[in-house]
Amino acid sequence: MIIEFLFLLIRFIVLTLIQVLILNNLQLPGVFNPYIYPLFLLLLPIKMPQWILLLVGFAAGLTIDLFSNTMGMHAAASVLLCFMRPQVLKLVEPSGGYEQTDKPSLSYMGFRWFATYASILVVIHHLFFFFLETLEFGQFGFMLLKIVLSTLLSLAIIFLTEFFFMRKKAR
Amino acid sequence: MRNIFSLLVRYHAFILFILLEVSSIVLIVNNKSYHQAAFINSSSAVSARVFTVYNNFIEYINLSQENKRLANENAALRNQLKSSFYDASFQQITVNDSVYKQLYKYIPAKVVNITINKLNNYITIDKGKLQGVGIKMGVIGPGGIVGIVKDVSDNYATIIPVLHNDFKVSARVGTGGNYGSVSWDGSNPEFAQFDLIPKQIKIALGDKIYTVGDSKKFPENTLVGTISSFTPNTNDNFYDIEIKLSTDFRSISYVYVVNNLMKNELDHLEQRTQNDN
Repeated sequence: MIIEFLFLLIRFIVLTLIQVLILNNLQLPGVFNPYIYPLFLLLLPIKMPQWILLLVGFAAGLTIDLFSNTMGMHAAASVLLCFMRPQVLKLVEPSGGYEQTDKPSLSYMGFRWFATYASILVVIHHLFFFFLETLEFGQFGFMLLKIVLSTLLSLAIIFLTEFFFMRKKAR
Repeated sequence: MRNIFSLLVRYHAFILFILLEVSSIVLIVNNKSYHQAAFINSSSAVSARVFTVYNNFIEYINLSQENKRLANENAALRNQLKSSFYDASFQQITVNDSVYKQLYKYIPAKVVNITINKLNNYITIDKGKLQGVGIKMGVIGPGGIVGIVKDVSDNYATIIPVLHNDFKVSARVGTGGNYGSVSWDGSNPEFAQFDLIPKQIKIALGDKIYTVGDSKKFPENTLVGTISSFTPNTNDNFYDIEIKLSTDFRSISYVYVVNNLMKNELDHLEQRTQNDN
């Protein structure tokens, strides 16, 4: 139990550091804003009660906000992601339900399952986040392009990270 | 009563969801107001410490490049020294020292964090209240204007750079031309928009844009950028002008906070005039 908690905490710290020190500082055109930290929320245990999930999402989002001067935007998007997660989990549930030992990760559930699960939730997260970010600018064409390109890049980064860890586990 | 309680239990996740979303929105809205001191931002102690440690790391990699840039700036400053000019006017010899009173004081600062690819970007610097940095002071870099101080903690400050939705500054074409307003549309960190120049004014590609003195934040004639494209707007009387910013936000690492020593006096005077009316 404690080991599992420590493992989650370390994963959170590592993903947050990657996010705020590397991804936030990438010298890419403005339409590419990749986010890796949703992976932390995707990988939380399946059976976690929803109220804990929501609080963890809020805390994680706020931590990212603290480092990127976005004040509540990441928190709002993360809470929405956490709210939708049980529904999406139900949607992609394999016939026969989840096993006690299942984890919502690439190595446990396979590529097709993880791809559907991660894509739906990351799209929800990015849609809401960039919507909040664009409210004041009113450039909706630019926002759409940004949502599409950033989501693709985020998903690519999230899949790569998962592949990397799956290979390690197999050895 | 029991019904309400069972309703609460049944929809606790949804209620919590709404509560958390509302508090996020409150945070977003609170941070929008320019004057209110935001309590969660990158000048706060924890995040600033992390950025400083990381930045010290990264600095070694860019050291030689940075030396070159500082040397260039030193040379440019040396060119402005009194000793590098030949004094052609003998009247100046009789000028009393008290005629020149220092108006602007510069506080050098290191950039510890910067974003450029968001719609609202921020810069964090390693100088704060204790070093004399105050809210709403202007910030300039080796190339030209950088932004305005938004919030200060004891040893750090956050800056709203040109690349931010709330940033606006008056500027003019050349050192004596028409006044206009510089803002940023969120698309490219190298270019900004320059508005309110009437169509009948003649402008040309490459014309330089300078700040004007009435903003009190920046010294007069600080470079903002050069005109990179302009088209007359068909709907109104003005040009649509795009300027290439003289500050390279991709590589900026040292800036100067501008402290206008007469600002208080000016503010007081203007306040009093307004109150009299």
